[in-house]
Order: sequence, then C-alpha cells, then structure tokens
Amino acid sequence: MLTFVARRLAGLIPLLFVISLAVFSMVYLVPGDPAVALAGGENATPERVLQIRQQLGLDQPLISQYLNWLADVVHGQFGSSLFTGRTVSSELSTRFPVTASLILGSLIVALLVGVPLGLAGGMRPGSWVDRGVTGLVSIGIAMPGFWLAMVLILVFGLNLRWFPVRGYTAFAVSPTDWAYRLVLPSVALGTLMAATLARQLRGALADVLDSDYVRTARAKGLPARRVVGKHALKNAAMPAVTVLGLQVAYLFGGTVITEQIFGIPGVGTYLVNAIIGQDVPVIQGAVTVLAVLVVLVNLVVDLTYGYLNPKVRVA
Amino acid sequence: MTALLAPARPEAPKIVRWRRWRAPGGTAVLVAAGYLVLLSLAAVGAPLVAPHDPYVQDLAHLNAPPSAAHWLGQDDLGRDILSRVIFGARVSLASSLLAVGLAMLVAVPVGLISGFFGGIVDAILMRIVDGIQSIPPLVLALVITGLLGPSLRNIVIALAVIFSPTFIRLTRGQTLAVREETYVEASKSIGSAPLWVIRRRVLRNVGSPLIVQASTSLGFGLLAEAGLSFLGLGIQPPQASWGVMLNRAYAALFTAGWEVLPPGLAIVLTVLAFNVLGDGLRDRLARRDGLR
Repeated sequence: MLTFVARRLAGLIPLLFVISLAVFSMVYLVPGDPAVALAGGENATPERVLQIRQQLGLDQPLISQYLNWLADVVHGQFGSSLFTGRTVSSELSTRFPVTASLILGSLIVALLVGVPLGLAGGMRPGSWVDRGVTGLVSIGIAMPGFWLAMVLILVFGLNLRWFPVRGYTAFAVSPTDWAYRLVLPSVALGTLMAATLARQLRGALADVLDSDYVRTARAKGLPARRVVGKHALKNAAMPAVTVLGLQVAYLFGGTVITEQIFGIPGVGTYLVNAIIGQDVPVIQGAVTVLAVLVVLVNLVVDLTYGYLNPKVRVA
Repeated sequence: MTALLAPARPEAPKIVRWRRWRAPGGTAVLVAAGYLVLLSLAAVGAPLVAPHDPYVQDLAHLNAPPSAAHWLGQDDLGRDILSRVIFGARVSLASSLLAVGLAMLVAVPVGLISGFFGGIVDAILMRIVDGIQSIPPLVLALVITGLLGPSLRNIVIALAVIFSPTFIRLTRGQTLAVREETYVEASKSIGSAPLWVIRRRVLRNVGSPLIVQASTSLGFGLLAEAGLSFLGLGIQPPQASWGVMLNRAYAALFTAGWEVLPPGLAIVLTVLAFNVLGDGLRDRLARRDGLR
C-alpha cells in the first residue's frame, strides 16, 4: 500500500507541471500582442500597455516569465485583477466556500436521487421499473444543466413561488436560508451526476446479481433484501464510486453556468466575468485552483480504490 | 493468428442482419437515426424548410405566443422561433460536427504514435492528455474561446481540444492491443514495416469504437456549444444557434418564460438521439465482435 501511495504521489509531479504550462501559456492565446489587446486594443494608451506588460511580466524572456509565475503560484500568489486591482487569491478564498456549498448540495442531490433509481432499476433488469429508470437517466444525461435551471426557475420560482430564484446567503449568516437558496441550483447541477450514478449503479448491480455467488446466496434461502444489501451492493458500489470521482471535473465545469444563472457569487461567476473581460491573472488563478482540485479528488478516489481493492495496487 | 487464417466472414442472411438491428432497443435506435437524418436534412435545407426569415423582426409582436402563422411563437425581437430553431440547427450541428472531425484528425495519429512507440514518447503524450483532462472541459472551452475571441472557428478549436483526450486514449489502447498480436510479430519477421501493418490493423479495429465515441461526442458538442453561446462566448447574435436562443430566452425569462422550451427541447432531443445511437451501435458492434 505504501509503495502504491508513493507512486501515485510521484505521478502528480509531471501532471502538475503540464497543468502549470497549460495555464501559463493561456495569456498567449490572446491574438496579437497580449499587452496591447488586454489594455483595450487600438485605443489603449501607451501607459496602460506598459503597465499591463509589467504587471504580467511580458517584458521578460519567456523562461523567466514562466519561472516567476510558477514561483508565485506555488506560494499561493496569482497576482491581481487587471481591472479591480484586488488580489486573485483573496478573492478566490472568499468565493471558494460559496462554490463548495453548491458542489456539496449537488452531491447530496446526486446521491439522494441517483442511488434509489439505480437500485430500483438494477434489482429487476428488464422490468417496467427498469425501463422507466433507463428513460429518466437518458433524459437526465441529455439535458443541459443550465436549461434545467431555467425550467426550475420558471416552475418552482415564478409559478409555484416555492423557492427564491436568485441569490445566496452565507452559512454563517443563516444556515436555513443557506440551504433553502441552494435547493434549486443543487438540483440543476446535480441532475447530470444523479443520472450518471444511477446508470452505473444499475449496470453494476444487474451484472453482480447475475453472478454465481449471488445465485448461491439466493439458493441457500437468503431473503432478497439481504442478498442485495449484504452481498451484491458491496461489489456494485465500486464502479459507481469511481464514476462519482471522475464526474467531479464536470461538476466544477457546471458550477460556472449554474452560478451565473442563479446569481451565486462563487468561483464560477468570478471566472466567467474574468473570461468575458479577458482578465488574464484571474483566469489563470481560477483555472489553476479548479484543476488542482480535480487532481486532488481523483487522487483521493484512486487511493480509496487501492485501499479497498488490493488488485489495483499492483497495476 | 485469426486474421491470417480465418476466411472472410460469411455474410449473414438478410433476415438475421435485420434481427440484429431489431434486437433489444432496436426501435429506439432506428427512431433516433431517423430523427437525426430528418434534422440534418432540415438544417441543410433550412432556407427551403423554414416558414419565415429567421432575421426579420416584427416589433408589433414582441414575445408573441404561438399562433397559426408562427407555430412556436415569436422572440423578444418578434422573430419567428420555429425558423430560428431550424436555422440554429445548422450552426449547432456544424460546430459539433466540425469539432469532432478536427479532434479525430489530430487525435488518431497522436494515439497511434503514442501506442506504437511506447516508452518516453508515450509517457510524455499521456501526461499531456492527463493534464488537459484535469481542467474541467467546459472551463477549458470557455477560456479558449474567451481569449481567442468568440467565433465559429474558435468554438470548433475549443471543442476539438476538449474532445481530443478521449480519442487519443481510445486509439492508443487499440494500438497497444494490436501490437501484442501474433500477426504483427509474423509480419515483422517477414520484413514488412511494423508501423504500416499496425496502422492498417489498428485503423480497422479502432474504427467501430471511434464511431461510437464520435456519436456521444457529437451530443456533448451540442451541449458545450449551447453553454458557450449562452454565456455570450460562442456564436454571436443575431446569428441563430440553440445556445444563442437560450441566451435570449433567459433574458426574457420573467416575461415570456415559455421561450426556453423550443431551443431547449431541440437540444435535449438531439443529444438524446446521438446518445441512443451511440449506445445502440456499441451494443451491436459488441455482439458482432462476440460472434466472430
């Protein structure tokens, strides 16, 4: 196990290096001279161009640009916004709990909806319940989350008036209001994951229930509930957990639009506004944080998998 | 081994081939394929099919609900929504199709090289792929179009970048599998250039999974285009795409909420059709390979 952990940790180094290169070179995606373009194009004053060039270090050779940037990033410094002047790290740290709340809510929705659906379908493959589940899952996967968000706002916000349609309250201010306002956004964002989870669980459970050891358990007269609960579910849960981990990248991506629609002041809103304004330091900072989070989640999933399943450690 | 000795697979009788397509979920696959064919025809022939000009404004009927003349109503500038959905299909399908094409064009050779040479080349290429996949796909696409500037060309580039990793992995996996086969050893021993042999074999083997993956990616491309255009970082108004239409519908959400339905349902149905088609092809190819 120890060598397994060590090997996984060592694997992070090249990965983080590639991510840092990708994020660093984003500034060169801006067509033409980035400093001129970011200063406002042809109308830019020479002073502003010079200021941006210095702020982004564009006046230095490429290698030292990268090394300086990397040294800052390793110390948690992403520079400051080209427009507001506020440092990216302070902005990110105030916004991160907001996005984390939304992701937590979506995970809860995914589990509450996805697990029962997956179980219901997987227990009796081919039945009408199973077909219903498969249908729902297919629609859930085909639906753009932000469209679902608008439909939810229309139905539950504007028509039924059950939930507020915009805004966010911090947990520290009012835990009930925090939860209340997160319901619609979490459903909008969590549906895709619920559908994916249900699909995986259904498939895995159907396979396991068809295996010899389950047939043995049934033959010796165990009630169906115990066969599924004690024997089948343990094995069926593994692939589902993996998928949950892999889906996290999509979840982080989804927060970007969901936050925008519900007016939630999280990392996603910050990033979209930065992209629209071509605020390069903010973009680099937010993308780095998101990518590192995805890497960490995948690492945790990997390690858990290795812990639970010794066969994986060898590979 | 099998490839050297097995004679060409005898063609199954017509009735069996038909049953194969009819087997579980066959109807759904046929319906999905039929829908996609009709949609593509409507998209190509949009000027002939659409009842109205998608750009003509009718300021007397802003946000007008469906009527006999305008089956799906009129948008916030009085433009015919049905016509915009049909013209939007052009842009939405084209961006997704071009992106998948570009991704495959780049990714298949890269996967081939990675799988064939192995070692350091493979290690480097795979770390790059891992790196790309660590950035949430939608975020990466947003950053690329946002910094390059929003346009159809840049959407295609952005989507191709986020699609490539899957295609690279797929081709690499097939190459690795084929490289181990006896007939590659055999062909090496008779002196044919191994890369040439592998390329032919791999392209034949990887063909089916690539088609399945392409179908799923086409669906995801539609979702991504919609997301980009919705945020204003994709197709630019007044041009119609399903994402642009949702952007306008969002602006009118409190006054004419029903306007989110036509473009939204178009997206859901089309992505669903691509997914059903992809799953159906996967099942059938698995069964065909099982018979072999």
